[in-house]
Amino acid sequence: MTTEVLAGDLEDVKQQYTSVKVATNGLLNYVRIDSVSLPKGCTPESTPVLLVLRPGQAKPEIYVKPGIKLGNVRDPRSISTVTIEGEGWLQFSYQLNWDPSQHSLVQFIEGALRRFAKNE
Amino acid sequence: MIRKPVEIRIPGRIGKQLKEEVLRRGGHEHVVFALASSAETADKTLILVKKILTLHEEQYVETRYHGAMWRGSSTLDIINEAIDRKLGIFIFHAHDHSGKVGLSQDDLQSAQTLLPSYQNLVPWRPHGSIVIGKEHAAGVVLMPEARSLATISRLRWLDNSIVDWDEASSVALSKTFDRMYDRQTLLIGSRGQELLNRAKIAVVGLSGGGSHIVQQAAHLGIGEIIGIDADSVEEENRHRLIGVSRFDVRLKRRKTSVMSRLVARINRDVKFTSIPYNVPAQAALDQLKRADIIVGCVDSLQARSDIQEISQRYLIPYIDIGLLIIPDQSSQSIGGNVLSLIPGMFCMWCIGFLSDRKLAEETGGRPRSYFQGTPKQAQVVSFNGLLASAAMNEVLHLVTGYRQNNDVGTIKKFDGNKGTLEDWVFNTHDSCAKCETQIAAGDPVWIKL
Repeated sequence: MTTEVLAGDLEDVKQQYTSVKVATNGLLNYVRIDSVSLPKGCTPESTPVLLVLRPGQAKPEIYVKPGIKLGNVRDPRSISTVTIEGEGWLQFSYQLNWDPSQHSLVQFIEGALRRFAKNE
Repeated sequence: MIRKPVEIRIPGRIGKQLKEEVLRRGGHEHVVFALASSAETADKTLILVKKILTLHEEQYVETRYHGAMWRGSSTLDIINEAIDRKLGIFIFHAHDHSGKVGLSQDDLQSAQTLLPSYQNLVPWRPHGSIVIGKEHAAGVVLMPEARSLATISRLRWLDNSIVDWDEASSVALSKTFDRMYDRQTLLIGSRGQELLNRAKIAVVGLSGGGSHIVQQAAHLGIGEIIGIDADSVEEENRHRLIGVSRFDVRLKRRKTSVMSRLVARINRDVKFTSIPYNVPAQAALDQLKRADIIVGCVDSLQARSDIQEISQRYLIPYIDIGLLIIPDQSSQSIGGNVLSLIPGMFCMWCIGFLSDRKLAEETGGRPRSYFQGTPKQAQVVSFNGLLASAAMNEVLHLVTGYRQNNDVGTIKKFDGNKGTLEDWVFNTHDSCAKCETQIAAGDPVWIKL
C-alpha cells in the first residue's frame, strides 16, 4: 500500500474508532486501534486490532489479540500467535475481496473481523 | 513516582567502537553521539543503543574552559536522524581512569541545557549524557515528559561476555557464599559466583533439553530461572524430562510445576518463575524481556524466529539448542546445534539458519495460522543432555567470562554418529535486513492520531 492511500484511509479509521495510533519501523507502517467491536456473540465483545502495511503489498495484514472465543464458545480455527514489534498478536486466515481503489480501510477491518467470527 | 532503575545496553561491535573513540588521545576529550531506543520491563527501563556517530576533528571548537566543545551545526544530521527514526540522543565521553567516575559540574550543566532541547524534538524517547571510565560508568537521563534528570544504574556491554558497569562492579565484594559453591568458585571466583547469583535466565521449552538446562542452572546458583512452557507432562516425556515422576504424568502436572519442584530440591537460593504459556503469548514475551540471557529449547523455526526477534530487539544474548535425529537404516543422521548469539554480532538470519524460504517450508507454504507444530521427532535424553551442557557452558561464560579467549558468539555443530561437537565455520551476510530493523528496536513508539 502506498503512503498516499494510507494517509487518506487513516482519516476514515480515526473517525470510525477511538484511540488510533501509528508507528513505523523501516519501511513498515503499523496502525493500532485499541478497541474494535467484534461481531455479535464473540467474547470479549471488542479487541485491539493491529494493521501492518507493507510497501508493495496489495492488502494490509490484520491481527487481533489472542484469547477470543466465538459465538459457539469455540476457539477460532486456523489461528496462530505471532510476534510483531515485540508484542504477541493473533493471526487468522480469511479470504476477502478487498480493493484499495474501491474499498476503505474501515471496510477491510470490518470485513476481516466478520470473516474471523464465522468459524468455518 | 518511584523511578525504575535505568540500564543502558550497548550491542557487540558498537561498544568496541564507542570505547575506542571516546578514549582516543588528543588535545581535547572526544564525544560520541548514540541513537537509542527504549523499553519498559517490569523492573527496569532499558536504553538500547542502536547506532553511534562521531564528530570530525574540525567539528570540535578549541576551548580552555570545557573538556570538549563542538559546533552546533555539526550535530544537525544527528538530530535529524534521531527525529526521523524516533530515537533518543545520548552523549558519551570518557574520564580515562580506574575506579568510579562521575559527571563533572560542567558535564551536568551541559546536560541540563542539551537534553531538554532534545526532548522537545524527540519527546517519545529518553535522552542522556554518560561518562565512562575504565570499569565504571555514570550518567543522567531525561525521561519522556520528565522535568528533572535521573541517574543511570548500569551500563551493560555485550561483548565476548556480558560486562556490567554498575555500583556492584566498582566496589569490593562483601558477600560470602554457601560452601556448596566451593569447588565452582575455584574456577570462576567469588565475583563470578556473585554474577551468577544476580543473573536471570529464561528457558523456553522444558522438555529434554530445557529440563537439563534448568537443573544445571539451579546447581550453578543462577539467581532466577524463568521457565516458559504451556504443556503438561505426558508418558512420552518421561524418558527425557529430568526430574519427572510417574505421578506427574498421572496427575498431568505442568512442566513448569515439575521444574519448580526440581529447582527447590537442588537449591533454595534460586528463584524459579513459572510461566505456563508458549512463546509468543504476551505473558511469555513480557518475561523474556526481563531476562539477561534466553536459552531456547524449541522445536520449530517459527518459535526460534520469535525468540530471535525479542533477543535482538531488547539486546539479550540468545542461546539456542536443537537436535535432529533421522533414523534410517542406510543413512542414519544424528545432528544438532548450539548457537550462542550475541546481539550486534550476528543473528540466525545473518548465517542463513533462518530464512523466509525455510519458514515457509516448515508451514508447508501456507500462512503461519495453519501451522500445527513440527511433527513428532526422535529424541534421546543423552543427546539432549550433551547439547544442554554445551549451552550451559555458554551461559556460564556469558555471565562470568571464565574463558580465556576472545571468540564472540559461537556456533557448534553436533554429530551424534561421531560423538563430536565442533565449531561450525559460517559466513555472514554483509547486510542483514533483520538486524537493521530488529537490533535495539526496543518498544515501538505509538503516536496517537
